[in-house]
Amino acid sequence: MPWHYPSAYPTLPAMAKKTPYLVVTASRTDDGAPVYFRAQSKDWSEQIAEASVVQGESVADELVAVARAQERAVCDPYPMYVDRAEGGAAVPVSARERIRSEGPTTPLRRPDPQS
Amino acid sequence: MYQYDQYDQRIVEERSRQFRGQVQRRLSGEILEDEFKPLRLQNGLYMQLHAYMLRVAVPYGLLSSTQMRKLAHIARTYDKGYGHLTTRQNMQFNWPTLEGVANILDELASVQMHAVQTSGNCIRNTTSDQFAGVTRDELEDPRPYAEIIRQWSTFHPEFAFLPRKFKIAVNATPDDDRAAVYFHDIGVKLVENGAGERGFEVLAGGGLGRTPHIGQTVRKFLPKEHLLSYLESILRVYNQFGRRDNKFKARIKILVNALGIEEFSRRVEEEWEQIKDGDMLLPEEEIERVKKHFAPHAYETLPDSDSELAALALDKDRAFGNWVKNNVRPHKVPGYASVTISVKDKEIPPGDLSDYQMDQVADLADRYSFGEMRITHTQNLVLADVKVSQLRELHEKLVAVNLGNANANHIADMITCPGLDFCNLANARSIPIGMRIIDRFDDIDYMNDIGDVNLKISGCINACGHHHVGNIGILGIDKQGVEHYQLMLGGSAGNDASLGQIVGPAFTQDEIVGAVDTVLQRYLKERESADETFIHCYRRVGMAPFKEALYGDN
Repeated sequence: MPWHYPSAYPTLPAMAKKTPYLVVTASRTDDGAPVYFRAQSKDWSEQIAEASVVQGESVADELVAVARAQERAVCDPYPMYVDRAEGGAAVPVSARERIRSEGPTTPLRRPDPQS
Repeated sequence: MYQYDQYDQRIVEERSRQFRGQVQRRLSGEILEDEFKPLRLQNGLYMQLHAYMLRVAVPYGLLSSTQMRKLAHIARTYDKGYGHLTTRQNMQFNWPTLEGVANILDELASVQMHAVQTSGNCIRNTTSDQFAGVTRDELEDPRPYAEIIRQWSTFHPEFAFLPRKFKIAVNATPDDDRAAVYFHDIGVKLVENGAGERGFEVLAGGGLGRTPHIGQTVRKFLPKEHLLSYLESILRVYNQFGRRDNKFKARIKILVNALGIEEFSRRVEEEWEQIKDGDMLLPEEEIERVKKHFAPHAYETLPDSDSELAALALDKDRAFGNWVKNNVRPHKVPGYASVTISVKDKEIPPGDLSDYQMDQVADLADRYSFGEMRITHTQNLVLADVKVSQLRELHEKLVAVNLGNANANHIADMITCPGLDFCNLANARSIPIGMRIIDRFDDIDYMNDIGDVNLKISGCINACGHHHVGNIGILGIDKQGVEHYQLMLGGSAGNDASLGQIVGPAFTQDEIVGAVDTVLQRYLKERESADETFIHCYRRVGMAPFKEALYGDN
């Protein structure tokens, strides 16, 4: 089945669309995978929908400080702006974070030819 | 090819052992990322958007079939079953785990490979002409000199913490630059002086990135025995005077242009006077010792095959004929040819090879090309020593593994950086744009009609996709959170080095492929004959007709 290039990414105007919501993200030490901080359990999820969403940069910075205590498990935690989907789950605002949370938009490995 | 001696082997094994300990300390929490980062970067390990990325060094792009099989094994065992060819003739893996990397370094050491000098502010992998040793137009094989530079630069204590990364390329011939020496921190050109003696012209201060510069000549002729002392002198001047206060102004190109080439050269010569006859002098015996590793293969004595090659290009099997025309070039030994295996296909990211394909190419190298292959800086592979009589058979086998595309040196044969799909620094995606362009120009007759033109795509101003030197360059930018693409025309990485110029306002991702086609359609109208390539046509007619075609009167 030939691969078809993806349709255009939704054009989310990151700078134009101001949002007050943030989550804390980092790269997992074991494998570099993007992970998102869950404040209540003070642990990390691969699913951005499970991330704790806070309002305002100062609150997010406090969350980053908490996350920094876990630097064995993760590398370089930082806050990122998100939008909120239905039900309140976080959705990245920027194309970069969207690709980071969903994976590359390109095929990863060509299937072997059938013998 | 070069074979490790006991010292080389011990170095890579010890490095692998050290890194395993560092990984264990990181995983246990004994050291944190701030401490670990400089250690991992000295072993080619980056953190990308989705995972770690390990860049494996392939000195001047030369690989044995044993090494390629090992890379296939690594891709299969520790990654997602593929690897990516890079513009420094290396291979990188996008998905290893940290613990896996410690094992990968052991695996690499077992086949005389490593991942040092592929990251960090050191002298990076030295690159060279992919047709070194087999091309008719070379003065001599540049690989022994690239290897000598590798040995000198590896773990050179004085140059372990340079202001920024440092890249050196060695070309084979003064007439046809296939190693982009004008765009390296140091470019080394093999030349002959008026007395017929061989030596080097040494360039410095070239580079791409956010402030592109064409390298300038520091010394017109350097006798061979002084190669290392001269490089050392340039590095010393750079190490001492290069800026460390601003990352974006720390490359040698900034220093060379701030001082001016005369003053920079004067400082280099002054330094060199003090060390030129010291222990870095390269005696002829040492050059000969290294040259023995690159001795010509045991070629058969065969009749001249130039006319046969020309006939094969017109073969009635047009897929084969086009492949011969575009991907095969004459060899200096009669009866042989060099084959470029295009790794540019509309269904995979440019430069990606699956583990299966790696194994297959290794088998083909064993069967048809003395067990060796080369990675090119344009993200392809080369089998350098194929008998002309076996080309058809080889082509069939390449087609069977989806590596038989006849697009070398044409519009689909592009350089593409990983872009926003993988890279932390990128502003826009490159790979999907590249794949769309390959798809758009999939018609071989149209591609042949357009002829020799190169296209290069970068996802940000760091220019890893060399967009400044593409005949057609594309630069991805972020415009208020939305990916856009600037189109540039007129760049060239060859002897006629030039930097591309931005045509006008950026295009959206849905417009950019059509914009490339518009430029090429206009070229077909403007060219004086089919022999006038895109770059020559552009230099003759200038930007205006293309701008008009793209933007009209606005």
